[in-house]
This record gives sequence, C-alpha cells and structure tokens, in this order.
Amino acid sequence: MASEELRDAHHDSEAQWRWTARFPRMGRGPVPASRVTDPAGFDAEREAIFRRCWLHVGRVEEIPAAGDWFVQDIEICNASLLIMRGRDGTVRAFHNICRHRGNRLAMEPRGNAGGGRMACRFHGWVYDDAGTLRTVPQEENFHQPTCGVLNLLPVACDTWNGFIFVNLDPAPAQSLQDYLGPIKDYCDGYDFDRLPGQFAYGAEVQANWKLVMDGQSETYHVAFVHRDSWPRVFTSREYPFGRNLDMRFHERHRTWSAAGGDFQPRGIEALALASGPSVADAGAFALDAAEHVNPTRDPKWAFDVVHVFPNFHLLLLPGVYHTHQFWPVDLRRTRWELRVHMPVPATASQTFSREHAKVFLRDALLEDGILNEQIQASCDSGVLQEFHLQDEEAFVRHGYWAVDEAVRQWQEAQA
Amino acid sequence: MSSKAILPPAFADLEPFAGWSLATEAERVDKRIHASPAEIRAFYDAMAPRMPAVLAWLDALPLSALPADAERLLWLTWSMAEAAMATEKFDARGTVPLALDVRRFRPLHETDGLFADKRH
Repeated sequence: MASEELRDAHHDSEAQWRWTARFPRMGRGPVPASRVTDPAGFDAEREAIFRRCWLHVGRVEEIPAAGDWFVQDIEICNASLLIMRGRDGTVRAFHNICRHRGNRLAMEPRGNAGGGRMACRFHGWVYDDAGTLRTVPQEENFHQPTCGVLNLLPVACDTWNGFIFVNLDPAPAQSLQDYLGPIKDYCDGYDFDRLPGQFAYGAEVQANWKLVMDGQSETYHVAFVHRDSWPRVFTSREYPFGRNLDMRFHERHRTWSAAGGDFQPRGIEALALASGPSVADAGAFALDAAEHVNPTRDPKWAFDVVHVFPNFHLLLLPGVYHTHQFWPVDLRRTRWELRVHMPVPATASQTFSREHAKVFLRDALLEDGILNEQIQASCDSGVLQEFHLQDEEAFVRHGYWAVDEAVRQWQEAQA
Repeated sequence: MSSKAILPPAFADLEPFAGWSLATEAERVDKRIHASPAEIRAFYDAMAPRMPAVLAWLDALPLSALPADAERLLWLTWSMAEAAMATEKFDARGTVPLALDVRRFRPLHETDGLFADKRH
C-alpha cells in the first residue's frame, strides 16, 4: 500500500513521461517476477504467440540456389521446419517430418536438394521441392496410397525485405504484410542486398526469453555493464547514461532510435576502426534511400531497432545490420542467435577489422548474458516479487505489454 | 629457426608468437582463454607496433589467393583482435570478467556453415 502511494506521489503529470506517454496502455507499474517464472504463462505464450504469429527464421540469401535448404527449430512448439528454395525460385517452408514414420527429413543444419529431390535417410522416401512425395521404395506393398498423397506438411511462409517469416498456424489469421502493419514500410530503401552475413553466434542462456530480449532493449545499462568493454560507446559527458532519440509503439511491434556517445578508440582498436568496417559503421551507403530509418536525423544517431513481435530485433546502422533472435526453449532456457551483416572484406586489413568487430561485439554480449541468468535466478528465488523500469526503459516495458496483450486476446477468443 | 619458420621472412621477428597463428575462431578463443595475462600482453606488445606494416604487406597481395605463409600472418592479425580486446579492455585477462564463458557463444559461421560462401 505504502509503496503504491509513494508511486503515485512520484507521478507529477502525464507530460513528464517522455516515452510511456506515447503508449499509455503499457502502464507504468512494476513487472511481476512471475512473468519469467510461471509455467502456465509460458504455455500460454506457446499457444497465443509462437503457434500463431509470424516468426522470422532467416534470410533469402542463405538459400540462393534452387534446392538450397536450411532447418529452423522452434523448440517451444517442438517444431522443426525445413525452409527450401524451389527450382521455380519460390521459398517454401515445411515441417521437417517424413510422412512415412516421422523421421526428420533433413538431419543437417543446411544443404542442397540435388535436382530438387530430397530423400529420407530412414527408408528412402523422396520428396520434391514443392513437398510432393515422388518415390517410395516398395510402394506397391503399402496398404494406403503414398506418392502424391503423403506430401510434406506445408507451413505458411512469406518474405519481407529478404527476411523469411513462417507461421505455424495452418490458417494464419493475417498475411505477413498485414501482421507487420505500421512497421512494414520502416526499412524501405535500406540496402540489405549489399550486406551479406559475415558472422553469427548462437548461445543457450539459462533465462526466460523475455529477459534475454530485455538485455538488448535499452542502453541505460551500457555505462555500467560495459564500462570496460564499451566505454562511451553510447554515453558522453553530456549524456552519461545514454540518450534515446525516438521510440514508437505500434501495437505489438515497436521501433527505437538511439544516439551514440563520445567514444574515443585508442591503440589497436583505433587501427581496426580505421582499417575497415566496424559493428557500428561501414559507411552510409545502405541508408541512402532509407527515408524512415533514423527518424530524428540527429547528428549523433547510432542505430535503430525494429522489433518484430514476438522475438526478432533488427538493428539498422550505417552499412551494417544485426539481427537478434530470442527463441524460447523452455521457461528458463533461451536460444539466443545474433547475426551481423556487413560488406564483404576486400582486403586483409578489412578482414582484421571484421575480426576485431566480432570480438568487440561478442565480448560485450557475454557481459549481457550473465546478467540474464542472474536475473532469472533472482526471480526464481521467490524473494523478488517484481522488477522496476524507468521511462527510458519503455522499450522493455512495451515488450511485456505486447506479450500480455497477445495472450489476453487469445484467451478471450478461447472463452 | 628458419627450418621451423611459418611466417613470411619479412616478419621473422614475430616467429616467437607463431603459436597465435590459428585458422579458426574456436582455436583463437581457446588460445586466448588459456593464455596468462603476461602471455597475452607479450603477444600484444610485440604485434602492436608491427600491425601497420603487417596489414600494408598483406594488402598488397590478393586476398583470395594468399600464399600459405601470408595466410598464417593474416591469422596472426585475427588473433591480435582477441589479444587487443583483452589487453586494451580487460587488463590483459583472457576471459571477460563478470561475463558468460565465451565458449557458450557458438560461432555459427564456423560450426553451422552459415554465411560460408560469403566470407573470406
């Protein structure tokens, strides 16, 4: 009670809240710790979100040639998907399940279906690139029809700016374009095609997926967590705790723009930055035609984040973009995947810059990862009942609101 | 020494650090986390003043067709990225303080074949 009164006394007026005032429905109260410890909540997220929303799974250039495929696991739904480019150029998604006895059709992370045909390792059933079952050894012995009937189970699949999305709902309520709604034009003109993937990391973190995502949703922590690794990357004499330039909340999705600090690289770090691209800057060319990116046009602009609900962060920088994907494995386990796209190095110096960029980013993310696990442990202790967010952490807060809202809408539809 | 030399003759002075010339990130990370701060700093101190010359020398060669000794020199610069982060940010400690073990970050560009055709 007392804390409730204190909280109210602390509010002066709506106008003082820079970001939450833009989307008051996200509220201003503490976040209950149960949001990352409640098994029923996790089950609801599976049904309401991961079985129904469009989920990003990769880039079209990962599978440039006819028959190229990769596997994407969506652990929370016990799903394994096969994403393949057909000989007709179309990218399709299927459940990675042979219809004979349920073996995984693809048993490697990626490959090519020569001649547009893919054979099951178990008994040699062969499917084509449209998922049609073509040949079955000893077909005549089967008691039911097989070829042309027991085809791969399709999964809804579409692309946006070259990003491949799938939807596990057999009949998605919305098209991908409608699902993206107000953010679908945000990246228009950004030159994704000139920025191939250069490095990627996958980590399993012992924390709820929302906590891992929170760690990549504010720069308030940078002055503290990354005091040694990234001094003054986002902070400056003028803004010692970083500076958010913009946040926009579009129902479940959101966008964020932040300023850089007065970073002064020295030594080999300065040489790396002078020799080629960094994780923050590889030249402005990718932005030339991107009219919505960097909405404030602030001279100190550092990056934008486009959050596509529920678990995809797209970081746009000059000539570099990063993606973060936060895959729930179970309530307290997340598969966190980072990919960085930048120009292909043309010289030895530029490969050195890329290697330095990789280490620079990776080492800082290691510092984030341990916090996610500590926070999970604190929530699991039962001692911590709630955690608190300030207005500059509204991007984190909106994440909880959006998950809640999706679950609430799903529960209403069930009732 | 000449019989065991693995680097281009112009950089014979770096031969004592040839053990840092490692082809994969997994190996470079392993080297870094098992090296003492003194070893990391010794490598950094020897390599730092030579880096501009090393990069200029390598840049004169076609990146896609480096001779074997040049490629080993290139790998040495990639290890230097690890040693530089450790030395310049973490007091030459091989492991990042108060952080996850780096081995928990799987380099998918090496282990998964991701981006394999797009990288040097």
